[in-house]
Amino acid sequence: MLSPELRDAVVRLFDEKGLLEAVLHVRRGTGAGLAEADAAVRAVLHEAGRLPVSPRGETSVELLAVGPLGPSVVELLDYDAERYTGVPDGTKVITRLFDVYGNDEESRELAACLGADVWDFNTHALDPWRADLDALSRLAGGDDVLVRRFSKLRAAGFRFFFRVLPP
Amino acid sequence: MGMSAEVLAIGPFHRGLLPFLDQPPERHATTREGAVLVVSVFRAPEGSTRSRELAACVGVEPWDFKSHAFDPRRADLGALRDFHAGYFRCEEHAKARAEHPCDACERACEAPVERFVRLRDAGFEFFFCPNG
Repeated sequence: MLSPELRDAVVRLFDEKGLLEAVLHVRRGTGAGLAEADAAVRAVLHEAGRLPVSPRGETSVELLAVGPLGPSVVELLDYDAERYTGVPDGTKVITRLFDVYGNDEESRELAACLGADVWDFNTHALDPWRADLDALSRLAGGDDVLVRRFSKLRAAGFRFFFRVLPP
Repeated sequence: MGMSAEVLAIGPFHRGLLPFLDQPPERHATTREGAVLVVSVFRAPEGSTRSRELAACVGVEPWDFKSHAFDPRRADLGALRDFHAGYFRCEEHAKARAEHPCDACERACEAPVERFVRLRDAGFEFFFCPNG
């Protein structure tokens, strides 16, 4: 739960600078990880009417990427680049790019953006070149950070996975 | 917000793994042999201490990213069993919030380690994922 001051700052930063700045502000203010901060920010923005509210449900999903660490990707991972100091280039790392919690429709939309189907496990190891980047950007509320991360990791040879979280 | 952690496995589906996946078997009625899946193997959502214990069980350092894609053969299965011992309750005891475990509770505590071994033997790759 974010403090009232932090919630106000989240909304202000989202309006002025976008989703990424709001998430980074929460990370700096709370020490939370990227996924946790992202979820907290989205909850605040939903309450504030800044992100579209869609019919909810039980399904939670996420988009993961796995690949080799290198100079072109170190800024795109879950944590600040300093945390990866001393980690050799080529080390296999995993990163969470996007998640949807308890929302059937958004889960379906994310899958569709990625050329997958939520409940067809044959499609969950993604071909990232089939992704609809415009649709992905819209799903992220118009924020282009997700698409930038996705594109750069794809160019760096990362593998991408769609995942349905356990019930 | 303390640290939490999860161990994920990524690898090829086959029918023998049905009891050990994230979703019930009926969800995999059309999944083809060899389809690559992500499976949640272990979770430590309770805070830093449990997360660090889990990291030690699988032979990684919680914040050393070069250790996070780990060799599952190096995991300490005994430590993993101890990590889960007494931690889960069977469905009946969970509903009753029973303090003392029964045989079914103990089997529930064994299940995550059995899942890990089955996925390891099926050639899955494993990742320790900290969050904090």
